[in-house]
Amino acid sequence: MAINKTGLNILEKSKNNLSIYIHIPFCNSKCEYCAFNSMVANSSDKKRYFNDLVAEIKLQSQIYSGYYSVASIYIGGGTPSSMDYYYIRDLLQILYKNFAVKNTVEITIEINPNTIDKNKIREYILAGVNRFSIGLQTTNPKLLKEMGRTHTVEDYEKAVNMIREFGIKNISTDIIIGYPKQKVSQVKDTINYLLKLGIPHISVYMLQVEQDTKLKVLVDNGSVGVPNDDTVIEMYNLVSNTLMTNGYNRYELSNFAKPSYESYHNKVYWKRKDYLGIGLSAHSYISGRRFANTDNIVEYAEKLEVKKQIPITSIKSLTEQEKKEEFVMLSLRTSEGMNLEEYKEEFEENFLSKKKNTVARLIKGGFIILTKDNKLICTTKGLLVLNQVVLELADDL
Amino acid sequence: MEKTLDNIRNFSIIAHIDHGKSTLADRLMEFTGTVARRDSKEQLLDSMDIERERGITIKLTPVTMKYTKDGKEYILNLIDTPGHVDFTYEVSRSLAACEGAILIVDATQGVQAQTLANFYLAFENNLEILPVINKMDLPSARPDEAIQEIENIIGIPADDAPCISAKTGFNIESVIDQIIERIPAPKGDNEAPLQALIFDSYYDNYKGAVCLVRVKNGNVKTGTKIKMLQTGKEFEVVEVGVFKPKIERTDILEAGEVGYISASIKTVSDISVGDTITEVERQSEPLPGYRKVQPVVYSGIFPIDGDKYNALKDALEKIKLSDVSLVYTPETSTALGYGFRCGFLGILHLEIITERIEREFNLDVITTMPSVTYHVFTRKGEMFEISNPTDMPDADTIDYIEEPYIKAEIFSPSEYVGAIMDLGINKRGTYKDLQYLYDNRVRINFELPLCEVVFDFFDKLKSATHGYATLDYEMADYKRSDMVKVDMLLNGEPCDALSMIVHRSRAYERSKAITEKLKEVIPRQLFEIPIQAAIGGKIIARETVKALRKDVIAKCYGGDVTRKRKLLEKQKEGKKKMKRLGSVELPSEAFLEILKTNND
Repeated sequence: MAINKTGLNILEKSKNNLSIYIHIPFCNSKCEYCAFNSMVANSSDKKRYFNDLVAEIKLQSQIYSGYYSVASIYIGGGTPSSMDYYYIRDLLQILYKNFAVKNTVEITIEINPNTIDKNKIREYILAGVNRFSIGLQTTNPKLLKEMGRTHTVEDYEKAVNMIREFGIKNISTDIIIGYPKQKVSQVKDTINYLLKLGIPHISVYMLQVEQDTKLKVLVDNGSVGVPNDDTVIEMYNLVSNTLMTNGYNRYELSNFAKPSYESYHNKVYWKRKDYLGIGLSAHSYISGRRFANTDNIVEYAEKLEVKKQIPITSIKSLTEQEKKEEFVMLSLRTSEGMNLEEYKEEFEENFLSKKKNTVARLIKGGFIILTKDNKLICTTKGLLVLNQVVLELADDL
Repeated sequence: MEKTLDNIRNFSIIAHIDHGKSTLADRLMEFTGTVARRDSKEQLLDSMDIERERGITIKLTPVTMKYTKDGKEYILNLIDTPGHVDFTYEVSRSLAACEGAILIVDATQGVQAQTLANFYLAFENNLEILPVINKMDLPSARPDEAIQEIENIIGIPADDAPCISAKTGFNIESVIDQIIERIPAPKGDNEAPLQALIFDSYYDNYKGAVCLVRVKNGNVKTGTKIKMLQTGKEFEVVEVGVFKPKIERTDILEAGEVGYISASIKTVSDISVGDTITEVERQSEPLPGYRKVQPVVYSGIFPIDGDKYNALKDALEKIKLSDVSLVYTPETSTALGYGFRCGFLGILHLEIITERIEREFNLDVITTMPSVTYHVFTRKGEMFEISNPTDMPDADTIDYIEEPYIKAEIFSPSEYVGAIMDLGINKRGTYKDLQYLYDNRVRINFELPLCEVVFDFFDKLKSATHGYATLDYEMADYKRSDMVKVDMLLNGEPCDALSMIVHRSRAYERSKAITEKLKEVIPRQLFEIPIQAAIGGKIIARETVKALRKDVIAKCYGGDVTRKRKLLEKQKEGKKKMKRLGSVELPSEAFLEILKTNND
């Protein structure tokens, strides 16, 4: 029997798949739009954090390793590549030692084009990394500067080439649309550039002006304005149409991939499969419970170093209704859509008979379609207003 | 020192709004040492937040002051009165508990509409009236003219009226001297059976319903078994006391005194303001009650959260305890569910009641379009009193409709006569006459439809005359009028809570203003929402809320689904605050905004 430190004693004793997320909260500099828990740190802070991560992996593995085998690992941030390479290497090795890891495991690391070199890439790959996610955001040099990005387009291209030299084709790239002063033509340039480079996986995010960001201050005091809705819609449709006509599948509303390049790890989130988050403010979903580590680095360190405890701050067992809501909310993001048979199986009720009128109204409005094999899938129009669509469908379940 | 009746003075201060009533009350309290100046908040008697914020007095507040003159200690009971035209009724209540009244006249403005109206109330109550000329600190003070106006317009001598500045405290002593010298001491028999007039009441969570009383005869103390003559309920007194201005417990309340009685009265409806309290053992005759007030404007009040119906009922009951002018009956709306149809003295009264419900009882409510009471005559010869648009019979069964009119009396400097005439006519009024009073002051009489006055006439009058004009009005007759019912349709479905009865000549303007406002306040939704205003089947105004086209497609940081959850929860929360009207969701604020929509 595993030591139960989180109150999770309901795991089935079968080998389920587990995905692991490891959070590296450090960056070399903070981007204008970033509200994420990331910080600029010195080398001793990084070393201490690494030791804390190792301690957490060991504690977590005592609970889960007997029940799961790891199907994907995602090292995100922050900027994981801002850590010295050996930390990443050692982290992965400690994971292998403490968990059963599948042969087919997908291991992704997020990198920043200017915190990377050939040596780091080689070490990552030797340690098992087989997928790279690179933050580009835009190819427009002026816009890059305004975002507070410290790399150039050349840095990005160099990074892509270095990765490919080691035979790795599985590269993903993040881009942003709807940034202040961004023009539709610039989005078009960025997409065409990525197509030309043959990047097989592209994630596109609409800028959200978050609280406590430098950008929020600028937007609030009126010194910058965000593009209007019509412009942002045009940008999204441009990205979406261009990529789909070029053989990409929009497998989730913000993720586009060539066949066989869809991210397994990414899909875990939308399919409500189990994943374990390790590190500062990392989130987990296991057996119907969502829990999260503290986002306070002092508390994080103290829990692990002094109290030898997993630094969880919140555990939430989802109610039946919340599970239904998440089913709707997450599945509708994907191109597979919401499988009504699976819904029926999981919740023992017929979704359509309960939400007949709403579904009919949304179909009529062109927001969703109902396929012959009983799936509700969002149209592009629906994806653009997904929050509202979800609100309607997840109401009173 | 022994209490005797001849050292007690019960008085009110009456004045036109802004003439300095609350300020004088503050100064009197300071002068008598009831409160120290440094402790005093501006306007001590205005204890409700709303009162201080709006600079008006709504509720009555009594305060007991002690003052020694020529070696004799006097007890001066001041009962404050509201100044706004909506609250004439409250004034009459407090005056019934007094023997005298200070009539304040602003030395810069002279006699105004409510100076007169309040004077008449005091006069009807046989009070001794002491004119006082205030605001002597202002360079524009014209005390001689003010005195002349008092003598000529009101018709009481004012030669020896003290000229004071309540703001600076100048000459306050002479006011106190006059209170003592000229206001008669209350007459009453301390040995007779208890006879106390309830002139106000309030609810205290610990004490229950508390009565504010003027003891006319007899006395009352802890343990006295009392009986309410009107409701017949009996109670044992737990505590009596006075206001200084915070409540202060005393041993006994005797004939002539003003104070409070708490008797563990749990049920609000057991107290009726205007009722007489007596003893169970020795009953007295009831004192004359108050005249009943008629609400002039009606509106529906509904809880935003349908489960809060009982809480709203409780809130209205408790407010009613201290505000008998509020009337309400249960009402059901297809759009808003269960609520109450409430009658008010005016729009300000309506706003204050809704604010009190929200602040004091922490309830979010929706108020529907206010309406006056119309007389609707059908072809069959029946007459219905209709104050709720949804009760309006079908248009083709109606023979004709009559609407209530008021007689308005407007005082103003003469330079604004043109502007006032325009406003009166624009509001469908009939000009009656105009009197030049002094120099450049005039009194204009108009007959105006009440429904035009209740909305924004007062505000419009103030802005047309840079705040100089004042208004007083009384109800006049009903007159035949071309009124129509306008329905508002959202997404083609009529929304009963937004229906209104208006004059045909105003129907288009008002409909346009409301459809435009609705367009502004209804958040974009997945579908386009047509907003229409219709008379019968005919659409007279239309706007469209465009469909929502995008949300933000945000990054899902490291599997942080809780962020998305929270967003969904937040949206669900927001949705709860929305009222679903057919297929359209309307934020509750929309109703308030529409209420404020002016018609031009």
